[in-house]
Amino acid sequence: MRETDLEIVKKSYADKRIEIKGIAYTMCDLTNDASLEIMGLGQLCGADGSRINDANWKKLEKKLCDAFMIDNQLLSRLPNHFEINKGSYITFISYALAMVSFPFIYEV
Amino acid sequence: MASNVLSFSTENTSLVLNGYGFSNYQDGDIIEAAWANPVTTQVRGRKDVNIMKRSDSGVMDLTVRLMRFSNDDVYLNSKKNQELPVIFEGSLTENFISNDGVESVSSYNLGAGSLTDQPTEVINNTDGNFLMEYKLRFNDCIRVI
Repeated sequence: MRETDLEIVKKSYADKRIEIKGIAYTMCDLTNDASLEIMGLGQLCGADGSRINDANWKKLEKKLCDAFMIDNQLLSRLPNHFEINKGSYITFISYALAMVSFPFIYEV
Repeated sequence: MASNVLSFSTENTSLVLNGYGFSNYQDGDIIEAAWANPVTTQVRGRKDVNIMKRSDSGVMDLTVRLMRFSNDDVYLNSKKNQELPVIFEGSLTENFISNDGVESVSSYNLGAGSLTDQPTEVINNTDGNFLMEYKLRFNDCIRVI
């Protein structure tokens, strides 16, 4: 991860929110088990979209959409969100996965 | 007479308490919310009436059923087991398509709540016994549209 990306993730994790193309995505509190499940899926299929056809990608997307919300609405309850905001999809998956993983990997 | 129980489909409703989003429901289940008290009290005299807003008109009971051993079950169970009662604040937000075809939201702000009854297991004669039912009471609720 580039240093600038790491700084963005660090700040986003502290704020519990990340803004992508003007839309603020807020991270929910997660249990350890839920975070580790997401991290495990991230390890299996990568977050950069390189293994987007992997069977685990949909699971990863679902788990992340259960863990992030827009205006108090879980992303999983907004099925059309990424239909409308296609350009944010890969960026969201990448940063969301990094935010969930951050306390386990980078936080001192 | 209309019931004071509100039902929310778990498919398009977000329940967030203390920053935690719930998602481990049985497929097709609902979240039940019930106002505990009327909005006003009316005291009739012979030719007049006194109408007062009840101070407890914002009390709402919430019932959620969660998959047993799921992350949501673990989360609420850990809160229940804490020494001091955990106070919950949050929201119940439903998204829907309004008459003019626009995606809209209806939201309830939930304030000053806690787990009330002991969680119970929900028995289902077709799918087995895989749900835990939690009941919470919030004292300061308003609907926001």
